[in-house]
Amino acid sequence: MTRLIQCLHISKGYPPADPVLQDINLDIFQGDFAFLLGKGGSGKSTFLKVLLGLEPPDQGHVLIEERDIAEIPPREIPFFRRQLGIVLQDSKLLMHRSVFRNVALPLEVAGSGEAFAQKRAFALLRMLGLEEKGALSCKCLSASERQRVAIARAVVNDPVILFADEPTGGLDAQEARRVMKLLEDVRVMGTTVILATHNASLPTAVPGSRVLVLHQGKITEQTAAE
Amino acid sequence: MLNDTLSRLIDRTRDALRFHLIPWLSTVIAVSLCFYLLAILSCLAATYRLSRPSWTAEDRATVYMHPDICRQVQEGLAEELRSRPEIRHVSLISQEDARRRTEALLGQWKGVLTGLGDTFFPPSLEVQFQPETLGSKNLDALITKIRQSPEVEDILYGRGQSRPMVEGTTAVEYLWWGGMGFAGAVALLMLFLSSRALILSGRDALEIYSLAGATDFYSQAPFYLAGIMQGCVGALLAVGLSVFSTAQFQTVLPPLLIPVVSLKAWQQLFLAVGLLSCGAVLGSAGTWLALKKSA
Repeated sequence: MTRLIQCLHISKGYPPADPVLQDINLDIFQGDFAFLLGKGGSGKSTFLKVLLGLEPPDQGHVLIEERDIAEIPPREIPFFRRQLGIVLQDSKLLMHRSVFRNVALPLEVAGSGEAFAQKRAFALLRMLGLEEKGALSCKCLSASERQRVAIARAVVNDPVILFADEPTGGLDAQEARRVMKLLEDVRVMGTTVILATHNASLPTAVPGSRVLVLHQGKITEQTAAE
Repeated sequence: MLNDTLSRLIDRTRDALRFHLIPWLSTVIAVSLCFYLLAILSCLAATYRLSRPSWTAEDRATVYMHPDICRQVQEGLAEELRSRPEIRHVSLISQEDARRRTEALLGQWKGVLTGLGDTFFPPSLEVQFQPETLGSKNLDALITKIRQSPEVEDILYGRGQSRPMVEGTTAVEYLWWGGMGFAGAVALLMLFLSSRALILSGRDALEIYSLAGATDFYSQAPFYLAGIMQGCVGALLAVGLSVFSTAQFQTVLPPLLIPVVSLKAWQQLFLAVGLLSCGAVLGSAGTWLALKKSA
């Protein structure tokens, strides 16, 4: 199996003397569906931010495809981010823009032509059952629909890794299942998924996934979900 | 591809301005007033030196004679002066010429001359010196000698007369440059504040673009475009306002002052290009500062 992410002795705290993450060593392999499970305030979001390079660790290194992300020059960071998909709990959509334009955003910033962006975004919207809503403003969508649009935006440029921070937070059970099914489909298409959640029952929705329990700043348990 | 890029940039700028149109337009109007002040002061500064009376030039002197002097005496003195090596040119101005010139200068205001006798318009000689003699002791001695002539009432020697005037105009010009600097600084401050408000309201969008892998240039381009447009539209309004107002001034000012405010076609073009460039530069500088401050 190809190692995609390698965490070496990661520590991070606010301030550094009060660590949220303590000496974490972890490997994520290509094709993994990894749940990062922990209670609120356990450091899941901080760990995701460190993996994404949004926050530097106080100690240790994160290597993605054998490259230390701390050594990526600032001008290359946007190009590095284009290989990643990011879904946040509050979906972070441009509310006054149409669903289609939100989904096509990563293609737009990467300089893809309008015709290609349109084709790709509509294909994804069809897959998500949102093709009827492509022209609507995101303000008109339900919470679940917004989260699906956020996932579509995150995967529209075929990222190598998809990071999702509480993507089912605030959704009811049925909507959460729908979102999890979608993420499972994304993994099947070849994208590695790392999902942070406080919901301990969520890993059961994805057979064969890895569960990484974050407790008191350490990843204390690594089991495969049944 | 270029079309796509442009239309996306325009879309994003429109998105950024969506909820800020009224503050944005208010800033355009305020900036245009600053640019108008800048335009008026720069026009005055540019035309002031050009419109300075010729007798204040360092190589000129005007010899005023007694009003009752006859033409022959005036011509005799002119001949004597022409024979001097320090003098390049002498022309005679009669009392009628002096009155006519003054009336022409005052235009519709010439009524103020009514009732003034011929003594108010003495005959004179306009003298131009050889440039190489300027500042020499010979010339100073010559001026003193002319002044002592019984037929001469007074002499306005450009070099002597113009120095205090030049010092005065320099002080006024400093004031104008200061005013122009102030107007420019106020315009920059307003553009900065407007851009900052726009950036703060679009901070979420900036974060989303950044997470989607947009370069700084891509994310910030709409703010730069909005700032540059603000500066340029303000500058265009100021150009229109200054051309209109100088035209209006000319209808009420005496001809003496018209050269100070009138703008030739090339000056108007220069003003338009200058203000537009100024608008674009201040607009982008204001946005750059606002982005630095918001980073």
